[in-house]
Amino acid sequence: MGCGTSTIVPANEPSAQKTMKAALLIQMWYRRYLARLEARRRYTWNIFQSLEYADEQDQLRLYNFFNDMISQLHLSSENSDDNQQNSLLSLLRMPSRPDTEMKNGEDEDANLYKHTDPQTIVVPMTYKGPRLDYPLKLDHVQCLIDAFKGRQVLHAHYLLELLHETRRILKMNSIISHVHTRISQQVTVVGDLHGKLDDLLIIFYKNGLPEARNPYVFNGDFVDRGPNSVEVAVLLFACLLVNPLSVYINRGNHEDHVMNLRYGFIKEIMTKYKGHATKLIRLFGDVFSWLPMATVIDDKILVCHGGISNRTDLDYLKTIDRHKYISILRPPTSSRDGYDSDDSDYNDDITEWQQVLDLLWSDPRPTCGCSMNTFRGGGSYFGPDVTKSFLAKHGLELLIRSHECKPEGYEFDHDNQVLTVFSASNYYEVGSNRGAYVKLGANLKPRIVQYMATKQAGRKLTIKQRVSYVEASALRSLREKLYASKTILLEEFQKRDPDNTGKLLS
Amino acid sequence: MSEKNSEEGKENAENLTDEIGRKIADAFDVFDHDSNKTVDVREIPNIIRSLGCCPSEAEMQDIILEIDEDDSNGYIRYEKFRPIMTKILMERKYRPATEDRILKAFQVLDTDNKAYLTQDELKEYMTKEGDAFNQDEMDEMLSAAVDPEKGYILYKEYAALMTVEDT
Ligand SMILES: [Mn+2]
Repeated sequence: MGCGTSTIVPANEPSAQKTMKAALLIQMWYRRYLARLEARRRYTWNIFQSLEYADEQDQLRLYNFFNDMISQLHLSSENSDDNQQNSLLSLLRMPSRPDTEMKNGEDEDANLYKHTDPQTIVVPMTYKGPRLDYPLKLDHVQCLIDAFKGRQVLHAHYLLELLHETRRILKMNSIISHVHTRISQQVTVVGDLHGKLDDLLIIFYKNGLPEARNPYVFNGDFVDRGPNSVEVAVLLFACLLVNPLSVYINRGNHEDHVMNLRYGFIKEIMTKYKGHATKLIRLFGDVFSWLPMATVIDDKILVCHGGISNRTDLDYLKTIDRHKYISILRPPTSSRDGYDSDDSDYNDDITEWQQVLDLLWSDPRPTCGCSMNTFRGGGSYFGPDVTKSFLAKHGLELLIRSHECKPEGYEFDHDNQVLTVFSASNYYEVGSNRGAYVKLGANLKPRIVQYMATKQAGRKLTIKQRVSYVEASALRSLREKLYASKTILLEEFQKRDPDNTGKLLS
Repeated sequence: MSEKNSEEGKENAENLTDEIGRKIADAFDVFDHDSNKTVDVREIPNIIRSLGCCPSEAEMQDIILEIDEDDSNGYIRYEKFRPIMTKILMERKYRPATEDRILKAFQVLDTDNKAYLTQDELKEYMTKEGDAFNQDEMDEMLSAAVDPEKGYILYKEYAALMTVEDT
């Protein structure tokens, strides 16, 4: 306690009793106040989460609708040669593989390169930003970090080059990566970053850049929502190119063309790269389709973005051609590519698709069993029994997943067999949550590191300030949502209020 | 319809029970993350306190023992929680102290009658006496209680401020 007051010791027994009682009264009173704050914080948290998931749910519903439409058009176009309809069809199919007509991989590569050739874009003499050449070195990564801190944008020419190099490396890997910590004696797992450059820079600052002795697994959802998806992706890919054996990037449900259309990444590319957006969007989409979907650490820990279901089978997943899923939201259609598929082919496609969907979209739940993830509209809810039997079946000890924002940046579930790690701090609003990453040491025991990126240098917000701030923002979001549905709501209200009294009876 | 008046007294009592029931359900739902009418037992103190009750830590433990079931796995069922919480609220147990009593409590701690407490004094009492605060609770209290200009706690103003905020 340092200097100052030292005459706190009470003189006699009754006074000591009185002091104790007074302190207790204040403590009980203050704890009630804190509990009320906590309840308010949870209320707002629930509002944010409902808004977020309702949005994603819409996305899947909308997608299924379009998909049905595509199937219908496809069927009818087989019976007619209406050109207009065919062009509409090809337009709607856009998020799927652009090169379905390509017979083999080499042709596809050549075609993609033709449409996204970096050499067609000349870097002007006036360009002051970072320049890259290959093989990429650690110095380049540092130079990119400095440039991004100064709000510079990597030129489209260099970005395309970087993406082609990344694609080349990713193509050589398989759908499940394997990491061994025998030499490094450690590995770091990072969760959702969602275009939040500050958080990635904090992690690199605290934990060091990736290198042979400091390997990283990035567990998906590094783009969308935040303002710096391009920069975050560039840094992850650059790190991968410098250390292909020490950087592992899993695909998340947001490394997906259809999600990017809606959640900001495509908009960001179009704003930052006006003239070259089409090329970049196409190439990013292709690179994402080559990302692995899971990483296994020392044959003991599975790291994947969403989770598992009672049908998840790693051996089956290994047989999947991941590249065909430019968008994972797109379910297989029953009639494809000219031949009439019988039902068994179609069912195989569905089985395969669900394996992928479960890995990227699922959430753990405390209740046993496995059910459809109705809140998100995709993937599964999996219970502790599902986790237990999955881990036992594959000889694993722990599942590390991301995909859900947690107030503390991490959470243990299912008897410590599931660890959620989420690395975007202030995800819903300034002060809404901490970010965290996980360090696994030689014994693979997880150690959590938490942080909070904040612009207000030095000054720590009190819980009270944070709650009020986040609350205001949640109400704002809710108001926007209500406003967006104003016409529908008014119509519904009016139906129940035929006399135009302006009031509703409950 | 004519019997309505004679029924009124009974109805009021029912309304009160209804209202308490609704309050309990609402408070419970906020902490029921999976919407399956269960909460983590560690959330129970928050639920009870957010319903306006101020039991001591020992009393809190007694309540938890009463609602915790043997096979609960650390989760409390709403069905088990509701009747016990209803009873607590109906009997108006663990009522929070009034502003006046809080002020008196601060005055007891202010042995020199100087109308304020220094940060060290408050820390000493709150972390060593009664149901001691942990570091987070202490930091949070100090962050709002300390007068930014004077650097100590003007407890009369603080108690008044907290009472206003709480309503
Ligand atoms: Mn996700």
